[in-house]
Amino acid sequence: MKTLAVLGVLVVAASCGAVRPVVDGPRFANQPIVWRVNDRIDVPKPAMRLYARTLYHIDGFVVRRLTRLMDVPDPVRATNVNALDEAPDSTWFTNRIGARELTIAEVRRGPNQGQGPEALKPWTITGSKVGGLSIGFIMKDGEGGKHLLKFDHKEHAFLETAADVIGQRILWACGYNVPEDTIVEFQRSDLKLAPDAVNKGTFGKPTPLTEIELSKRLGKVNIAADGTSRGLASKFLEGVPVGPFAREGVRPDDPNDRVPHERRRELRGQVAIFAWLNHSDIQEDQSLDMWVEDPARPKRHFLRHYILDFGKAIGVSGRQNKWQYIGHAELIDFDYMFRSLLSLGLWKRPWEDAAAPNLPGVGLFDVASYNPGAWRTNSQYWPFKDADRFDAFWGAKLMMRFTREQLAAIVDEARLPDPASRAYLVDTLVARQRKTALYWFMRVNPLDGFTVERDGDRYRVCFDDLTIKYDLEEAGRHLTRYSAEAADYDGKPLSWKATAPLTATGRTCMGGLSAASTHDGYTIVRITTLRGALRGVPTQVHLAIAPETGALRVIGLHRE
Amino acid sequence: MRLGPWLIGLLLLGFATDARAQVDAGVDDAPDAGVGDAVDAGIPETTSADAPVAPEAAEPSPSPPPVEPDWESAPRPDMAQGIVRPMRDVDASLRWVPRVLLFVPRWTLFVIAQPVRLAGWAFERYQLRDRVKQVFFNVDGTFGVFPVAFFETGFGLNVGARLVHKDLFGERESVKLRAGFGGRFQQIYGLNATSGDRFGKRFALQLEARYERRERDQFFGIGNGDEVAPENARLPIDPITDDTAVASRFRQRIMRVMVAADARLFGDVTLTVSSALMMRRFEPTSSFEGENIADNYMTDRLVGFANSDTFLGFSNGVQNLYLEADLRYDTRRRASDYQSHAVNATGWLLSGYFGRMYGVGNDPSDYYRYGADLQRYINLYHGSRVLALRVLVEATGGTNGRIDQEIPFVDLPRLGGAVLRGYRADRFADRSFTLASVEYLWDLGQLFSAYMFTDTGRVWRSLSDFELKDFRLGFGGGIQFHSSESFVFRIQVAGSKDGDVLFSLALDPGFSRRGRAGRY
Repeated sequence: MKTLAVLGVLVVAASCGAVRPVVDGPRFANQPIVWRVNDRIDVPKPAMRLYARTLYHIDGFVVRRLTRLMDVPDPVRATNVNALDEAPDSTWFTNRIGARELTIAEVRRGPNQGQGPEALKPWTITGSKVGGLSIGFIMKDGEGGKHLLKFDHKEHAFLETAADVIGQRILWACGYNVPEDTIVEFQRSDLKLAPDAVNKGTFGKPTPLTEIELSKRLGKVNIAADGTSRGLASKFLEGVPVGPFAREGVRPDDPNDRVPHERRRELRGQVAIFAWLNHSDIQEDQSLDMWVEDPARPKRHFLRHYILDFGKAIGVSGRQNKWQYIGHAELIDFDYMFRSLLSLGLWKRPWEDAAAPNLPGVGLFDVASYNPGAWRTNSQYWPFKDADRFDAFWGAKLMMRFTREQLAAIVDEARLPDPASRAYLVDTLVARQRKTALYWFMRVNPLDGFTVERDGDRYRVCFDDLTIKYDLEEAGRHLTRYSAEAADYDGKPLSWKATAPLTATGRTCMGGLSAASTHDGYTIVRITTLRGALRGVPTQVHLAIAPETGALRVIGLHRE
Repeated sequence: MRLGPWLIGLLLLGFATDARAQVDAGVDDAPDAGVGDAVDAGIPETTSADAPVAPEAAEPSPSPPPVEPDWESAPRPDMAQGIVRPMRDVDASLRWVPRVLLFVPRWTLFVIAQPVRLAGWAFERYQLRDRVKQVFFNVDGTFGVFPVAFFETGFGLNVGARLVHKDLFGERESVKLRAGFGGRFQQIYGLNATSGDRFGKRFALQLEARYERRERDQFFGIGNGDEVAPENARLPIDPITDDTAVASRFRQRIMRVMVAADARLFGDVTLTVSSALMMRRFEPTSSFEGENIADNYMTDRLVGFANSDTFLGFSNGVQNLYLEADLRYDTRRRASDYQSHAVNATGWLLSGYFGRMYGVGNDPSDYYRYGADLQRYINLYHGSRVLALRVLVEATGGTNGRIDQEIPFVDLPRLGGAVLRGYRADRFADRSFTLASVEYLWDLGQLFSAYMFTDTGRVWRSLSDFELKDFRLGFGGGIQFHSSESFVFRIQVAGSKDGDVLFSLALDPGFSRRGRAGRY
């Protein structure tokens, strides 16, 4: 009997060993990395999607928030990534910064084409802006380009317009589709009223827009001593607007929309970027789907997805609306409310020492009170709620690709008159950028840029340590080293193991690797970063022999 | 409560953004320039290994002609990963247990929430806020006629209408007319007019005229007596000599005309002079079993009661004229720009007032009233934690005590409700009272604060009777809801050392003022 029991244990142990690989995780097809997906299949014009703000917040703060909780969902990683855990080009996103060199001139210009409206005066006012609380007009520039002309609140000159342009340029460089926004200055004489100019009333009933009314409205915006007014010209997007994209699920009348939005990497990964920018005013109506004609195939159409309206970035609401908690708590934040209630107010909340600097055009945008991991939007936005450390790492990587010079060029585009404001914004952007990156780089193995190269008759795997590359962790630098082991397709260990010290550039190679013998040489290299006594979570680099070259190539990446 | 459901919606959800403008305005437009991804120089198979380089600044150059990559041969959006064997999620194995357990509650919640969701959708879909504004207000929002409905705890539903003009002659002169039915009032009609900035920022006039039929006003006798059930009291009680309190109700009709002048003398010092002419009639009510004032009290001993035949000349009620001067030093304010204007966090209120009541016609009202209100707000932290202290004293004089019957019972200084929380409104009445309050308020978020309080006080036959004895004590706390500009309401639970427990929707901030004849 005892012998049978021992045999049984051995059999179970052996079978466990047989089915459970040493290196777990996904397995990738031996194919080139996908950097572009086709979500441009011809679709008929979808119906206009209504954004019902009240329902949105009822669902966000209460109903859907609770039902999502009660659904007990599995934590799901972003599903539209490629095998390197990157977002491929699509109608949502285009890899720009880091994927290629962006010149200072390019980041300065952003998505803007041509000369811009300021060089195309006079402008013809064709109507007044609908929606929102601030003053605005619809105008045509000298070449017929149609723009929305918006202004700063009178008591907060430069604030919203500067934030919009900074946010717009940065997000364009990151890869997002954004409108062409430009800071403009003009005199009253630069504006002509179209004979058929109308106020489009709240219920769509137009009334004539008269010179008197135009002047009356312009009297409510800031006018400098020389008669100059400053505004933001936002060019109308190409195509036909069909409403914002949802924060959850897919658009049912768009067959190209196959990945639920809360699982899209480029939306989830925004959490790190928006935290950096303290752009917490995220709602569905900050997005817009445009039904556009395919430039390569006329008469065929698809949806392009835009994000809009960055006028509340850079902590603008903290100054304009006096919302000190901006970026720290939601408008109705049950978590913080409950903690404050129970502690009878004795608990000091993270934002209570934060204050907007007394600089024109600068919102509540600081470094000291900023905690990248605890940053929150004003309301519930499911892609951010579902974002995991891999999404944030992706966003942080994008964000770190901006150099100080590029950021300074972008801030220059905000055309702030006070050099101190510009300097503060650049310094704060850089400091928050580094704080954000360090936070998220500590939560994954921050290795990236993997390549595999011939090393005699063997191979070597090379990678960047982003923490070192961006000089984020001075203290642990001299203690950093890497260890690696290899496994085959089934996860069984190979004989190869390696260790390597840190190099000065942060790029490290580990040589002497042989391909496994099965599944096209499918080899999994599992690399761990050690900083002193701290052992990080490993990253798996999946390699296989490319049929066309006969050499190993990177076919996948799995961050544990 | 004095707010419609739409107001809560607006306050909770009043985010203002402009993005919709592009949707509204651009449906039929297809301008020429492309956006965003016109420049696409191809993507490397791995991310760049080199540190980002910021090339030298160069003049913006015209964009190269867009080169459209081959999208046709690319995989579909959900096929980019190339995973042939997905990762096993070993943690997911037991999630079915809570899913099953929560299935019914989840869908129950969803179904229950549908009417609210539908209302939220309709609110936007049919632009109800704008439509309401369009229907009830002029374009500038300065003039409106609109219906009002509110519910007051203990009194029920009141419906009515208001007419408001906030800028009558261009200097923010305002006029408000109201009519309401139900709840505390069977009927109420009112006119309120203020001079706004017509006489500058330092001087203002106010005129108010009201007619009210109140059905359910409460009376608990006179004095500091403990409350007893009617069956345990010797009824009817003589309120002049017996302090026993029995919960009772009566009807009241009020006609009142009040004029007031506010003058800012200097700095934070304001003088208010007011005068009110009032006519009131009282009747018992049989609407509340066991609470009919005529059953519980000798109403002929209450000055002004309709069935009084003891006092010559005013068996039909009271009619009197009240004149008052109120000198105030008020430095109360918020302590931080980041806090709501509804939350005083620092400063003082020192208020002293003196008023004189004269009977009109045969009305024997003949007394004076004086009082002081001392409040101190102590900012404990950034204006978000506040300790508020208050001492309130009010007394009447110029008479010979209760027996002279020169003060109508409704004009007696009273405690209870908003003044001495933890006890019902008007629970104590006598010729004077003293009250001390301590309140601690702390910020919970943009729209909410929490608070705890203790009130202690009592009424006296005369302030000269004052001693630290037999004080009533109320305590409690709640949540205050406010906008960034103003107080909205409090949800409060309060108790007293006498065993009262009151849940209420309080419409007054913490240290509200008690109505004095004709004022407030």
